[in-house]
Amino acid sequence: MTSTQYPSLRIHCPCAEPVTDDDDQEEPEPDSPSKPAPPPTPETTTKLELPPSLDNPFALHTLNSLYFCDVCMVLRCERCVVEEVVQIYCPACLHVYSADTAGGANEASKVTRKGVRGDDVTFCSRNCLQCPLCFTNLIMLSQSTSDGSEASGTVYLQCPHCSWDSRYQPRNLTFSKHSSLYQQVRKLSGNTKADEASDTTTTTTATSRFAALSSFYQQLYESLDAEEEESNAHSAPPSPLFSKRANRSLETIRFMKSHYSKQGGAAASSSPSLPAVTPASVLGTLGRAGGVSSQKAREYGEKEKERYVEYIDEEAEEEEALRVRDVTTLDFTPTLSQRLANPFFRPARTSDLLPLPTRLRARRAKRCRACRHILVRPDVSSRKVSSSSSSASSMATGAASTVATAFRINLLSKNYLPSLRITYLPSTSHAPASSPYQAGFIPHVTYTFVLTLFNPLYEPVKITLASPPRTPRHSHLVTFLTPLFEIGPNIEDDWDLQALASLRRKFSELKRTGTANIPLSQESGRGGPNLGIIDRGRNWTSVIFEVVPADARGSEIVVPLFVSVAYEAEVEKDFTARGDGIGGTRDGGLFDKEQRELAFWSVLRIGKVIQ
Amino acid sequence: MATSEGDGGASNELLRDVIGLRRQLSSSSPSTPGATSSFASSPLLSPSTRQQHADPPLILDIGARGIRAGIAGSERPTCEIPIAPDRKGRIRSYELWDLDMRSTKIEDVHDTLQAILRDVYYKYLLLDGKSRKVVILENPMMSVQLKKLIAFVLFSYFQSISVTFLLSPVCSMLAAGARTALVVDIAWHETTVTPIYDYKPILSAVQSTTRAGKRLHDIVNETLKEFTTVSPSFDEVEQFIGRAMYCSSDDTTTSSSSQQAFAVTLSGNTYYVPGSESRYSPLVQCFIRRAEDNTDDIDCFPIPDLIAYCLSRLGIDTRAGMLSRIVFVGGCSNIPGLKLRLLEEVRNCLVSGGSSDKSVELQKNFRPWAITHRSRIKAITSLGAWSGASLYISREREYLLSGGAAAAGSMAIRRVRAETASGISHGTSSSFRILGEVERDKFLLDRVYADNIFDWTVPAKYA
Repeated sequence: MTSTQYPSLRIHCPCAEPVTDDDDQEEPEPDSPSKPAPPPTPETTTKLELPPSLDNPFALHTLNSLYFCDVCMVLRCERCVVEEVVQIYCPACLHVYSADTAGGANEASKVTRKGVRGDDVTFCSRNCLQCPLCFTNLIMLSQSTSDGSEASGTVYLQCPHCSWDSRYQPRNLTFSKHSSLYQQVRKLSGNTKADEASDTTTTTTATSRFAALSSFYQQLYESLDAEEEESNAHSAPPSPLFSKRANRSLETIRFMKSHYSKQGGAAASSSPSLPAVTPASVLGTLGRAGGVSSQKAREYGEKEKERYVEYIDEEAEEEEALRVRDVTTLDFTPTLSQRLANPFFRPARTSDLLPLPTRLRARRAKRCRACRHILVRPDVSSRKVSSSSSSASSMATGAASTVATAFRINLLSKNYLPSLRITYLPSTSHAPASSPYQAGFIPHVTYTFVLTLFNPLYEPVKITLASPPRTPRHSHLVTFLTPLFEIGPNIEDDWDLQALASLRRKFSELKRTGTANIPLSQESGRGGPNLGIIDRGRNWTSVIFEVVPADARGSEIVVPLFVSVAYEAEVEKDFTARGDGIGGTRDGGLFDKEQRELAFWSVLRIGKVIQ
Repeated sequence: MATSEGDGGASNELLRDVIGLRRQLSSSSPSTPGATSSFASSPLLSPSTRQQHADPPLILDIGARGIRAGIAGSERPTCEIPIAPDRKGRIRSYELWDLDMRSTKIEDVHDTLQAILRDVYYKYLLLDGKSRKVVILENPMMSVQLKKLIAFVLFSYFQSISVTFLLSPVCSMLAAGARTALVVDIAWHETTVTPIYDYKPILSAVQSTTRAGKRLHDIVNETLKEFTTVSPSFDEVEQFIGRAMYCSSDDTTTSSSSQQAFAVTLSGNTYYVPGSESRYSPLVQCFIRRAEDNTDDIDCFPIPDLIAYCLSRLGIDTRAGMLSRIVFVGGCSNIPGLKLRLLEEVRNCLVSGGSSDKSVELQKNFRPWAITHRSRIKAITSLGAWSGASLYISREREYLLSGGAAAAGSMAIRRVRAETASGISHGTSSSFRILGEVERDKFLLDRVYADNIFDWTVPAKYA
């Protein structure tokens, strides 16, 4: 398990409610918003309650992985969007295997798959193969290019990372053709067990066994079908009571029939105990004594079955066990992930490993689960490919078949919600200057942090921060000195770099001098609304908060922080939005001002208290 | 015949039900007249679901340690995803659920399952959830709570059209091409022995023991710790089990050779552990050796004893067919030589007939019978439960698509459920409830239905 990088900041998605049996949770109607409403806004003076799922790791996301529904005005995580596969492509050669040609935004898009066989669409059927050891993309090399006579298209594969080579002994794998290597490898994977009898538990190839069983069950079904028709003819109005009896007898017929149809008329004499029977006569006799004949018929069925059952090859099994016994290190057997990675067979030895096919990937459209509004829609038009991803198209054969990287719609939360950043501010007066993230936090010492919020919106926003004065579990003391402040609009496209540079200067200065000369306290001149604000730029503001760890050794300092963003948005007037053609000239403007509020919970993981 | 629906009384409806009954592969069961058997309306391939019936359903084999998934018709699952802590730190455990459901946090199972199935759908199979029907393989011992949860995740998050549960031992048997079998599934939490006679699982005789993958893991963990004085990580133990373990057919062959040390790398350092003690003995200790004084608890029988016990509880005619049809499936059965050893132990247990070396509990319940030939007891190979389900579903589908569908609109995947756990004798008449597909709308709207549909102790009329 990976250790958390401190400080980390995750945003809580309100969709993460625990599984309940409430009826509203199980509301299947897609149009009704089954998700809980966004958290209460700070203007309502109701007490803010911590969401119960705030410590659920599945409910916490980075800002970059969140979407934003601009109809519901709520952030959406991967769990509260509905995904639709729009396009399937190979990540190695960028070949597009299928595309959503309909393109209708509202109707359910049906992906058409081009694969020859149903399962083939999972893998790239061209030359993209992966190293069986380290899963890197293999490169195809021509066999002995120096020798002119041998360079007749024979190729081999090599891994650029771990230098695995397909010509390794004992396999010595080369390919006669340099096209559709996937098919060649697949064929090899099918044969691999037949070649080597000493291989693992299953001595025949799984593929042929599967095919044999498949045809066997097909015969079974066909015989079933024939009987049914017959039975329908014989007993036209089946009564419920009769059906139970008929069920048993028909089963008998089924196996008798399959038995005789296999053996043919001449072979029927091989079983002298039973004279030639017609299904009708059997039906008649079974009506009287169903049980006995049924039992006999079952035995026939068993005999018939015998050739489809395959006994364990005890010798091969024994041999394999002995082979493993004589191995002295793990190196001779592939790792579990290497075994699982092969979709065709289960390799028992490292030397059995074959190049792996490359799994295709999907570009997905995402919809809001509550209102079905599209949040993300990849651009699948082939036009843009040649222009937008020139590097990609140069790799593949045709520009039209490569995957595009553009999006038609992409509503991301980072374009709506302020992004947050935490910086530790060393304070000479209280805490040691060294980074406490690694060293750990000392209880009862005040640590000062800078929280910087960036506003992505084109309107100035009012930020309200709220946090429980003591953290829920270990009651570390947390104080946000400035819970209310404003951030300017993000009007210009480029960052105002000068201000950022000045901030960096300021920070480095602060790191030297400590926080002593920052106007933090009430008695300083810059009190009032700007209390605790370290610096601000055009669309960002840095505020200070303090953490006093409680005496809970080894515990993690986790600060729940509620952020509310209020702004005045310009919205199109309602009548224009409805599109009833009146036009927006009544008030002299097309836009109305509307108060909007966005709010979310976030979780700051500051660090750990020392042991 | 008491059909719970189709109360219109139309003979057409009845006809269809009758045809459906006959055609069931998994439930060619004789049933007493008047037994309540109901068919959940199952539109797997009904004309109402126009488009979808062209698409083969998705088959999920959800185990405690991993999920196997793929589309029906292929011979192997497209992906096998082990359950392990992920990089984002969301999944924290190596198993989806605990054997003791009381100590399982059902919310965690929900979240983990959802996250993994998301990967299954969008990373491996590249499918939309709502486009496919889902078939789930279940162990006969799977808890109702889990089944409900799986269905809930699939219905509410992935919007699957319908969910069908198939018994995984039956599928394992189908993948062996047999009609009667004794399926021994050596899984993670439990080893389950399921007798199946004539495609019909004899659920009353199903036995299980906790001598399974998890116990083996613990034993190997202890062994490695003892020999190396470091405590290996979960993954290192699993790698050791998967890559180094072997089983000989008896104890003597191991002691002679193969005493050389085995190099194993734990947390960066290479250690040498004694060969047979670490690689072979844990297997015997876990699966075969009885507890001292034969005081194995009832849920902790050695696997050979459990097989013998299970067979002894079957009828004479039933058990005869099973002796030569033992199927070993499950993750641990892939350990080289283990199947053979277990088979050998079963032979010893049954043929020698000496009841002296049986555990106390077994002796009490064991009804010995004479088997003279060791060679009568045989094991057969199986492609595995997933492949079996794939075979069955694709065959059924193809059959229905090729014209059978019109005749049997209500026909679908159906399976046999025991209506009550009480008094089901083997192979003879018993009452069965047949559970078909569970539909999304019905499941999500009807709470009583959702609560009861997976509970086969609830009589059909309430579900």
